[in-house]
Amino acid sequence: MTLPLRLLDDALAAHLVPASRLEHEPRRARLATGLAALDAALGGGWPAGTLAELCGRRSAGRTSVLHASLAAALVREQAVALIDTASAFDPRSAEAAGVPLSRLLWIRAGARQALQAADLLIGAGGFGLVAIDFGEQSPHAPTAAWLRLRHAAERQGTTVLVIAPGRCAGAAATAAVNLQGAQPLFVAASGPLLMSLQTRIAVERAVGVLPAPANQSVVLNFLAHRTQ
Amino acid sequence: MRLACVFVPQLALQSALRRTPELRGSPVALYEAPRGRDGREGRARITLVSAEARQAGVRPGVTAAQGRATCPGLTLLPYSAADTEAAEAALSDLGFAFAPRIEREPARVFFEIGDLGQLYPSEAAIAQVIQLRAARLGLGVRVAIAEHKAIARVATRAGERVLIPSAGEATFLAPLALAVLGEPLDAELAAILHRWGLRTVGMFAALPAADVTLRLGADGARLHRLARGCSDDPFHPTLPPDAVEEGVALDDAIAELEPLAFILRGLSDRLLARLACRSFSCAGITVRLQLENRTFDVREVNLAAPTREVAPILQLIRLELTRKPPVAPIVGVLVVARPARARGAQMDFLRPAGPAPERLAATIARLAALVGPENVGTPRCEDTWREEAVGMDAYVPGAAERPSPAPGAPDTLSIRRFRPPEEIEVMLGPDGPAALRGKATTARITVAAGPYRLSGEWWRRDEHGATGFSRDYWDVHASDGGLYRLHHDRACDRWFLDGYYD
Repeated sequence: MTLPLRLLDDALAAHLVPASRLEHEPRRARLATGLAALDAALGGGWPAGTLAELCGRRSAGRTSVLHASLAAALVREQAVALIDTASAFDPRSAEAAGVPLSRLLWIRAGARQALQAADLLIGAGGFGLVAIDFGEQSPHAPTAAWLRLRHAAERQGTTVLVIAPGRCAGAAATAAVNLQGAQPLFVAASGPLLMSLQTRIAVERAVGVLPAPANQSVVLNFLAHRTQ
Repeated sequence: MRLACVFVPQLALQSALRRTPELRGSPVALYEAPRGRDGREGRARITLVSAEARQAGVRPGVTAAQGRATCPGLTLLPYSAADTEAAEAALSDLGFAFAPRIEREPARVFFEIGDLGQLYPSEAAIAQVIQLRAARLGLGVRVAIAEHKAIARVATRAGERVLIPSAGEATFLAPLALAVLGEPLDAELAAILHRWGLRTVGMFAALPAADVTLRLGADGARLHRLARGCSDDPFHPTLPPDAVEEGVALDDAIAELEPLAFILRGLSDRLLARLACRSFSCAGITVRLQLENRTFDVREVNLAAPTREVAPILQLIRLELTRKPPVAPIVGVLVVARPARARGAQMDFLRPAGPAPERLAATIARLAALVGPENVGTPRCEDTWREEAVGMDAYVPGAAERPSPAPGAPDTLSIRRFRPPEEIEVMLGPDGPAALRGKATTARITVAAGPYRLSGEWWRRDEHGATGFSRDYWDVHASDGGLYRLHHDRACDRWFLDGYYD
C-alpha cells in the first residue's frame, strides 16, 4: 500500500529529496578551508580528492583564502605543496596565517610548467593538497589537461586547488569560488590605518552539495597583520 | 669465519660487454695493439674471446685479421683500461652489497658471509643471490664459499658455484688437477711436480711435509699446506669508497650535446645500478669532461633529494651543460656519484599517510630538473627587516616531526609580492602618494596609510657599495581596486611597488 505524499508528516517530508535534485556524484569528503563562512558555503570545505577553483581579481582576497587553506591542511598533518607561477608567495604573511613553513613544499615554476609540476606531485601520491597559484595570469590549457589532472587527483586522493583571475578548468572543477567586491577598511588614528579587507564570496560551482549553493553570497573579513 | 670469493672470469672482456650489452651472446673478441719503441701501434692481437667466438674457432693470440677470417661474424672490441676499472669498481660494490668490509684482488673480491645466514636459508642460496646481483651489474661471476681465503680463491678456478664445508677442504681439493692451485704454483714448480709423476692435488698433499720443504723450499711448503686445505693467508678487509664512478674514453671527440647525452645515460644507468646494489641512492653527481685541448671541465650537479631515477639526473646534467657548454670537444667522460642512504620513514597510525619517501625523493628530483633545483624547497623567512627577502631550504619529507611555529590566525590578510619590487612613478599630494604609474598598474590613490619607516643593515655593503636601507612604506587603496604596498627608498629617492594585499 502506498501513501499519498500529502499525508506524510511535514517533518518527514522535509527530509525527502526530489529525484531532480539527487546528487550526480557520490558525496565527497571535505577539506576544511580554515574559514568557517567559506566552509559553510562549500558544505564543509573544498571537496577532497578532486579539482577546485578559486577565482578573483587583484586584491580580492584569494591569497588570504589560499593561506588559510594551506594552514588548515598542514594542521591536519597532510603533505601540502604550493606551485607558485609568479614567485609571489610571502612567507611572513603565510606564517602569520598559521602556515608552518618548514612543512610546505614550495615550487616556483613558470605558468607552462605548473600543470606538469602538479602532475608529478599528484603522481607521487600522499599529498593532501596541491595548490597551483597562477596569480594574475589566466592559464591556457586545454580542457583535456584539466580533466587529466582531476582524474589523477581522484586516483591519488589529492585535492588540487587552482587559483586564477577567472574560471579556467570549466566542468573539470568540482567546486569554484569567486571572490568579488573586496573593500578595504581603514581606521583613522593619527592618519588612516589599514585594518581589514572585506570580500564577498560567490560559490559558482559545488558538485555534490545540497542545497545547491548557487545563490549563496557570504562575506569574509581578513584582518591586517602588522609587523611594525 | 666463512668467506665468499667472487671471481669475474675474463674481466676485460666482460668490462667491454658491460658497455655494449647488445653484443652478449654473439662471437666477440677483445684485441690489443701493443706499441713499439717508436710509439707506433703494432699488429692488433686478440687477447680474450667469448664462448661463442671460441666455439667458432677463434683463439687468443691470433691477429685480429686471422680472427675475422676464422669467424666472419666476429665483433672486435678494443681493450679499455677505463672499462676494466669500472668493472672492478662494480665488483667491489657487489661485495659491499653483502658485507660492510671486503678485500679486493684483481678480478676478485672476498667478504664474510657469516651474518647472511640470517637472511638466506643456505649457502647455496647466498651464492645464487650473489650471482643474480652480479648479473644485474652486467657481470657473470663464479662464487666459492669456504673457511679460508686461499681455498675459496682456488675453488673459483674449479667451478661456477662451489661450496666447501668446514674441514672438507682437503677432500674437495684432492681430485682436482694441480693446475687449480694457480698463482703459488709457478711454472718451474709445476714442471718438478710433473717430473715426480704428481697429477692431482691429493697426490701432492699425500707427500710428507718435511720432505717437501727440504726439496722445494718455502714456496713448495706453502703450496703443500694449501694442497692439504690449510691456509695462513689472512683476510685484509677495506671500507667502501665515499663515491662511485664510471668513466669512458672516447675514440672520437664529441662536440654536441645529443651524443654526449647518450653516453651519459649509459654511465648513469651503470652508476645507479651499482648504488642500488649497495642500497644507496644518488645525492649528487660530478661530471668530469676531458676535453680535446687537454683540459678538464668539471660540473657539479646537486640533487634536491637522493634518487635512483636516471631521468631527472640526466635532465639536470643536460641543463647544466646547456647553460654553459664545454669550450672544446670531449674525448673522455667520468661521472662520479655521491651515495646517500635512501630515507626511510615510519608511518604514523593516527596521521594521514604522506608520500612514500623514496617516491617523494624521486619526484623532488624530477621537479628540480623541470624548474631548477633553486626553485624547489621550503620557504624560509630571512632574518632581516627587508620585507621582500625570502630564502629556500631543502624540503625534508620527515619535517612533520619538527616542532611547528605558534599557529597564526587563518583570517589574516595576506600580501602578494612582486619579486623584485617594481619601480614606479608616484605623484605626491599633501597627505602622501596621490597617484601611481607602473607596469602593473596606473591608478589614482584614494586612501594612503603611512608612512611606516623601516631601516637597517647599515653594517652590510651591497655590490654597488651602498650600505643599509631606509624606506618609508605605504598601504594605499587605488582607483583600480588594488590595495597596494609600496615604499619610497630614501637613499636613492625612488618609489617601488612591493606587492598588493590579496
